[in-house]
Amino acid sequence: MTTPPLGPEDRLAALLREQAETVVPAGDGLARIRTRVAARRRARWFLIPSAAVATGLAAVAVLVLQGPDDKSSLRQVTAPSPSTSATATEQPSPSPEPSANPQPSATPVPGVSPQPSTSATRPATSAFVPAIWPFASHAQVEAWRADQSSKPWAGDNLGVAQHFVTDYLKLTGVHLVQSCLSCDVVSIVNSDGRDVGTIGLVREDDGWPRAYSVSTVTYGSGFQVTSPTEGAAIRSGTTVSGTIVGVDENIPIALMTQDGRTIGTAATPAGSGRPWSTTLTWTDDNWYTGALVLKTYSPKDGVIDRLIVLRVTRGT
Amino acid sequence: VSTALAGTGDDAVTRATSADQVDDQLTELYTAHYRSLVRLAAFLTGDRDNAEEVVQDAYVKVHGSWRGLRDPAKAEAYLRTTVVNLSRSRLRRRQVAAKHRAEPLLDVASAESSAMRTVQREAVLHALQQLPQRQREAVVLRYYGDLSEAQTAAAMGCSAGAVKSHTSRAMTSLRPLLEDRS
Repeated sequence: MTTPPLGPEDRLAALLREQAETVVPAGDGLARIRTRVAARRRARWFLIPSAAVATGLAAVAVLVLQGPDDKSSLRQVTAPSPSTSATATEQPSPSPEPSANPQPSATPVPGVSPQPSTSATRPATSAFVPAIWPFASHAQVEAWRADQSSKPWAGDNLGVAQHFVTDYLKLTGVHLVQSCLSCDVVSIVNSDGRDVGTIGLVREDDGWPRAYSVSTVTYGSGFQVTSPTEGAAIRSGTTVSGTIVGVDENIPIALMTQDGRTIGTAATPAGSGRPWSTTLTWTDDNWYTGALVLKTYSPKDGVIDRLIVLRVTRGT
Repeated sequence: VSTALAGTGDDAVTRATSADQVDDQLTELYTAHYRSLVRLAAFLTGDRDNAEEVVQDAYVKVHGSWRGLRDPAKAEAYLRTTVVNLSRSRLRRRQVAAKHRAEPLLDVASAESSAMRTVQREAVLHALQQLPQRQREAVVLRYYGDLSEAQTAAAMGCSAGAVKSHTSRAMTSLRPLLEDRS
């Protein structure tokens, strides 16, 4: 009795199975999956503080995953919603807030909507590029790898985005929306349902676990900083300028250090499509990486409606 | 016949309600399918280094959406579809990032009894990676995964007729390399 000759399909199947045997997964797959699942659980639920419950603030974390297609997935996490306006509940920064409070004086132009400049499906950046928070350098990532206890969420992109919004920017009344698990772009949405800005994250892959850091928050063509440029080395007296469309705004500007101190503030009236410009000064030079934080607020209900965070470094 | 991806039966997974139960189901799914899915992803992406990451993404995704599954018994199929979709995304990103860079695809094992057979396998694997993505998915799911046309169609998100067409075209390309040379 002879074995019938194999057909090309059988030979292909045999060849593929043979080749597959050479692909041997590392033994820590399940541990890695569990770590990531746990990190996501923490990221989703850490925003439910006991204080918020005690004061009757609603805190909801919602996960919506619709179907297996990566593009169809949507992750949404809602931060505690304040019972009063966002401006009244913004927590104070370590240093004084911008000297000029937002004083919106005009209604938005109908039809002007946020246009985030960053694609919502931007892929993960595998190489670490300079970022703002929580890591600005490879050395900081390595220090975290040695002891992750202070930032157990830093290996999760959504966790980093959430902590950036609440711990660093100290924003409340906003929620985050991530279009897919793998995307390193997270949208900040205010209580009116409007996009406030798009958080861009970078990923450091030169070790394990991978670490994420925020590199920027952009709004789009409706609100831009033209000077300084991202990553620019700035000195006290630097000129901050840009453009805004749609409304007359009073734009508060803050210079924050990587450790969260606000060391310089300024404000500039702007609007009607005109360029705006102001001078930012500070005296504290004990920093290296920092961020210019610019916000505008809705004239209708006072909630934050536009946000830019621009990475800068201290010039010498 | 290998049942690398064909599964252990729908009754292997039942509805889980608590977080612990979901975790247990995840572990079961891991034990049953992780290795074969990593191999599937390696074939689909041509990149064994990132195959595990793709599959881990898929597990995390399935875990997160467990309660939204209309039929948890279909978790395995859902997982497989997710791996196919994430592999596509990964491939797209890599192609954009390294459009003109020649990257090593699947390594070819050095331990081989016949030099001719090694050459043949290398040629087939190379040709496999040169196939259009859908054709590659179809033949890998059909002949490595041992899936039916209907299962393959479900994993690829297309019709069984399209699977037949993709498979036929792929085999037309590969057949000359698969001739019996023994």
